[in-house]
Amino acid sequence: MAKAITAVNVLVIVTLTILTLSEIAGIVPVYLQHQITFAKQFGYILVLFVVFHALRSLKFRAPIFLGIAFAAGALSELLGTTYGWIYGQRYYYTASDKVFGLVPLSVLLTWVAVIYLAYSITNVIDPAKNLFALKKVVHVSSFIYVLLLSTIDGFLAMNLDMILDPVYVRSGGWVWQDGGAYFGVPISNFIGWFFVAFAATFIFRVYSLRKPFDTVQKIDFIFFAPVIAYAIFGIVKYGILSYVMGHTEYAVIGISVMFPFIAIATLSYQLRKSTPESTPISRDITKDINLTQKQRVLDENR
Amino acid sequence: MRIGNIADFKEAKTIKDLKNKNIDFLTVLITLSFILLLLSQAAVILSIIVPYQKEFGYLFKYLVFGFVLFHSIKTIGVKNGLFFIGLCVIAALTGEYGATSHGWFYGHYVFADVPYKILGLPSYKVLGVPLEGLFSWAISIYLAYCITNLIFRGYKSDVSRTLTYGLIPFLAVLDSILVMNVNMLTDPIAIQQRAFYYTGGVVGKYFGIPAFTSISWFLTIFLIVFIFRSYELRGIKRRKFDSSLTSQLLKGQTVSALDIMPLFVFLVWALIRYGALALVYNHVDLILIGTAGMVPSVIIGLLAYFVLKHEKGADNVTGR
Repeated sequence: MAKAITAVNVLVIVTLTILTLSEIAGIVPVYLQHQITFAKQFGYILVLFVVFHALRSLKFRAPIFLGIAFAAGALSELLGTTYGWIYGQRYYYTASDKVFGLVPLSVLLTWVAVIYLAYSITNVIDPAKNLFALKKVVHVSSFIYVLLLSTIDGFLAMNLDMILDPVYVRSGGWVWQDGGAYFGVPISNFIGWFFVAFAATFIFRVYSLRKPFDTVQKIDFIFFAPVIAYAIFGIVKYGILSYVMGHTEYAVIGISVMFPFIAIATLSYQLRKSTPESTPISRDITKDINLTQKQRVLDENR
Repeated sequence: MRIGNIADFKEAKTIKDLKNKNIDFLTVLITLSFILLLLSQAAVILSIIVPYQKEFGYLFKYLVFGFVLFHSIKTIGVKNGLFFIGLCVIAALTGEYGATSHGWFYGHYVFADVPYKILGLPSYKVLGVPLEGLFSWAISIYLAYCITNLIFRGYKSDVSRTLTYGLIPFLAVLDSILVMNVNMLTDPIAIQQRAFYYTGGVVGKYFGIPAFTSISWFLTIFLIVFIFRSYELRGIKRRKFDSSLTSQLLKGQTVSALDIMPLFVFLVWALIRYGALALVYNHVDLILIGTAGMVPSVIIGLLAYFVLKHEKGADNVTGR
């Protein structure tokens, strides 16, 4: 088991490194050959990173989370492209390869990545530490707390789309039939993004509330890695694309709405990485775990 | 720290009585200004529908400034509170004056004459910069400072042992990005109102504002907060700060209504007020930008408050 965890840790670091390199390759296309092709694989490398990271963090629950994320993203896209639901109006993708002739596979996979990154970054930001694991709290409070955590998940996804959507609309990746108030994108689209991410993570967080994890996670570099992936994906990649397209205003908005999460997550990581305390994967962990188990888990982490 | 009891306040007839009843005047003033600013904001929003509410609404900025002044004195001490607000005002005046007279750092712009009077009095300018504009900077920076402190305490309640000079840049970055997010909503509205305008026919890409000005203001605010936080930490290290009152950071797990009020004032001050104006100017996109930029930090502040409150309760239970 320990060897398997080490192997997943290595895979997480390798994919994060390749992800960073692929982005650099996209930035400096002058110096290297084939780098554009390499950069185009960015989305798939991101999904690989997410899968490995989820296996490491959520272990046997990773398929459940990734399944919920995929289902939420796919359902919303199918309803959005077919009926104009969820995102307020109908839109269509200009790519030729589409699942059911409606949505490109890369978009569906990106949904999984976005929702997982949002969930993981909120866990880094979450100030609860071992509060819910080791101390008594009233059940209603923990439910409200989970609600607030999922709200942050929703904002993380929505704020990412505030740069992603204008860039893709401007470059012709997809088309909104009636346009919209935010650089050609309807405001309802962002409300849709918020609720899709909110709903997916809320289901999983409530599930974790009912069936708590029996292990806690160390606050190490891998725990923090999704923050780097989000920064590369959201700010660096789309910031540069905005700049290249001559729309620096997209980049300014993207930085201003995504950077607070990155700054707070970095602060949280800086403050807690060296402490012997550990952060539970689920805040409401171990309600049913006896004291001996808790002590064992803490001792292992020390 | 207790909020003044209104019943005690009613019964008290003299200053001496008030002192005897242990009523904290500053806390009463903070609470009063907090309620008034909420009411005045409601009046501003109502003014869209009901006329004659504007005069009261114009008081809003001054009420928020009053709140910030009293709150800072209460939570970081008279000397430090005045120093912080003074530093913000002077730095903002220097920046605005540099821009309006020489076009330094933020582009060349000019403040228009304010078309209204506040309770019959004209709006005052200092070196061509409206006084209320300078107040606005102090308000935004102080509220961001409070939110960052609350978030910080959520992670590390034993701040006195944790806070180092190495951590100050992290805190200052968060302060600065919060204020930058306020500007992302307020500046385009001010441009719409023609409260200021860029000279030489400059039309920036971000709702008429050049994109680089956001970075310039970010750096300016970073510098202001960095200076104050370094000064504050120096005081903490030298034990000049009274641990019970004069440093928000040293309060550790002791949380009160005073810690959570800045979150609401921040939302009302920046988002609700300017959000309502954005609606008037038919700019729903600005409401989206403001909400996306400001609400998450406020929610994270709420989480920190929630955790501090429960940790304290749990500590009492476990006797730690």
